[in-house]
Amino acid sequence: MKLKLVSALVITMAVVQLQAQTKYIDKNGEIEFEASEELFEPVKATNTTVTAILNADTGELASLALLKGFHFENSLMEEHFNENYIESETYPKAIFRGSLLNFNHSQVSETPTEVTVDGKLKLREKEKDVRTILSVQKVSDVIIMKGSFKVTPSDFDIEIPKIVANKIAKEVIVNLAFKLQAK
Amino acid sequence: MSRNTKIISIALLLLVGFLSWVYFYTFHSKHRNIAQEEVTAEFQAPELLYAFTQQDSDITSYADQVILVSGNVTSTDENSIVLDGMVQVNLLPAAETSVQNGQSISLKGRCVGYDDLLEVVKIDQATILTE
Repeated sequence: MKLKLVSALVITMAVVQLQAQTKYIDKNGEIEFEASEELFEPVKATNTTVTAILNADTGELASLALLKGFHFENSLMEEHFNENYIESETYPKAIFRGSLLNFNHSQVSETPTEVTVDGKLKLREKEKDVRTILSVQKVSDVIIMKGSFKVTPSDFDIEIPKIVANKIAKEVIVNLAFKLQAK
Repeated sequence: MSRNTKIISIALLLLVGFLSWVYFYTFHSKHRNIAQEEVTAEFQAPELLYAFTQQDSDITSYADQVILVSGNVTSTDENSIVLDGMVQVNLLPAAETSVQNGQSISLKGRCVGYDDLLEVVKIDQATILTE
């Protein structure tokens, strides 16, 4: 009897422990940014190997993009992005840490709901507060997250030379799409 | 044809040539063909991870280089393969694969860098050399 009680307790604790660590991970998340101006060549790049980790119990969200993983259609633009603007040799990654506000894991369903995310984006040793609304849904145990936010080059001390200033938008639109799987 | 006309037409030709070179260089430069490039370094998966996580190492030393990495497959999904839980490799879109967990393979690809959230080194545009 006692043994049964103890084992029941152990199992309950193990279950609680498991629930306390419901992590959802996407290692091939997508982030696209665009800073195009009309009439000029699109300034746009996509990274399809972004990492995103969600702690479903606390709503904490972390995401990391290696800057060399951004792919431009124009290879010269990609080179300039890495060498002159982002300086990816010195600052190899962009990292976001934040949390989903009032997030309740059990209420996520197949119907997309709007969830506010608030956190900090760190790039080139500069931090910028980011707050935006994500569309969150869960389809067959995969949490799908989509959203966008805006940043400016000056948020991260990126200088745009005068000669190309009119070809690059002042505001950069960042779109994200994550498919997080339970780990 | 007078001498002046000749000089002018040659100058014009050169100008047109130069301008088209600038145009193609700016808008149509080719992307690197990683599958065709020479490998600059070879690693076992743990060695590569170590090279990036060592405190005193220059973290960018292998980033953007074409490297060869070998290891045991610990997980696979749509287009990526994880070696020894330490290196995440994303294959070129065209690459077909039938690798399975536990298999020992070598891949060639571009090193993207170290991801300290997952604690893996990421490689993209990879091709499988041996299965």
